[in-house]
Amino acid sequence: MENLEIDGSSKTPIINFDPNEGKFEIGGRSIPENAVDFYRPIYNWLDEYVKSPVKATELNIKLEYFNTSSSKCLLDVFKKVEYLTKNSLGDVTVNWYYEEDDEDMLEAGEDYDIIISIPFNFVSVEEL
Amino acid sequence: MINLKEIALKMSGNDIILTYQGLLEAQTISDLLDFTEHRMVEHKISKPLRKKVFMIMLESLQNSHKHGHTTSEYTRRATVALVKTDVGFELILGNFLSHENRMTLESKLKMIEGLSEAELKSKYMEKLMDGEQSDVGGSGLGLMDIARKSGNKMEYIFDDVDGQECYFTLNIKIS
Repeated sequence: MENLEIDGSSKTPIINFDPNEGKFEIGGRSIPENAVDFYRPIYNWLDEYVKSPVKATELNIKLEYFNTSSSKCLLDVFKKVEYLTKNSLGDVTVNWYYEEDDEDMLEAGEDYDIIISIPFNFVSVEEL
Repeated sequence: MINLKEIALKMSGNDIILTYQGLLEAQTISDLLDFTEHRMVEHKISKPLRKKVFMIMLESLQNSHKHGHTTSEYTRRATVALVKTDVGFELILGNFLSHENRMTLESKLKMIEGLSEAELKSKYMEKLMDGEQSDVGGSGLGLMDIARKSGNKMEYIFDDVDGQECYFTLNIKIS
């Protein structure tokens, strides 16, 4: 399976998914008005990945900003990888990075942590 | 009747970060946000507050673009002002709306203003989990997200223009 790599833009995030290492990263800004169009190929890629995953998958979220259109898409990304733990196909960890003092971003991660059954690690950094 | 002129006069002792009147296309929204970020850096606003203002403004402008009235170029024009106050910022946004959209928007705003902080979070989570997203990318979360991030009650008014449309003014205090 090929890596999924998408360059970031002023409105859309950097995507860097390595299926062999099981390391996935979403970073930058995710603020397109209609985020579904952007995330659709990511869903399709993840649907393929969960058919033959590595033992431990790590999802690193390093978003500076994301809008509410993206928030539902991110939840769908989490649900795609949650499928692995729900079906005992592998371990999944989410590392949720946020800039220190950015309580809104921390709270957004905590919202997902409540909804999704996979463990979230909250990582405070000086700057994303 | 509250209108933008009265609000502008009320704010005359404060710093105007941004004022804009015109069409709110996707590129314009990006340009306004870039300009606002730049101005807030100039004003030495702390990064967490800058990010809060950015996100609230982004959601407000994208909402206006998605749901504003679109029968003519004139009525698609929105008015935006961001004002620095002693305790933070006030974002004032005005745009024309069809009466049909007014009913939907007004019921959402009334629902939000009746909720406590905990109830708002609960309602937000419920909406986040429903998985629905409109054709234009509307998640139904925008106003609730604005209310959660601002931490203040939103003030708003609908002024009747004629039988078809009204003028909507929204005032968000950000601190």
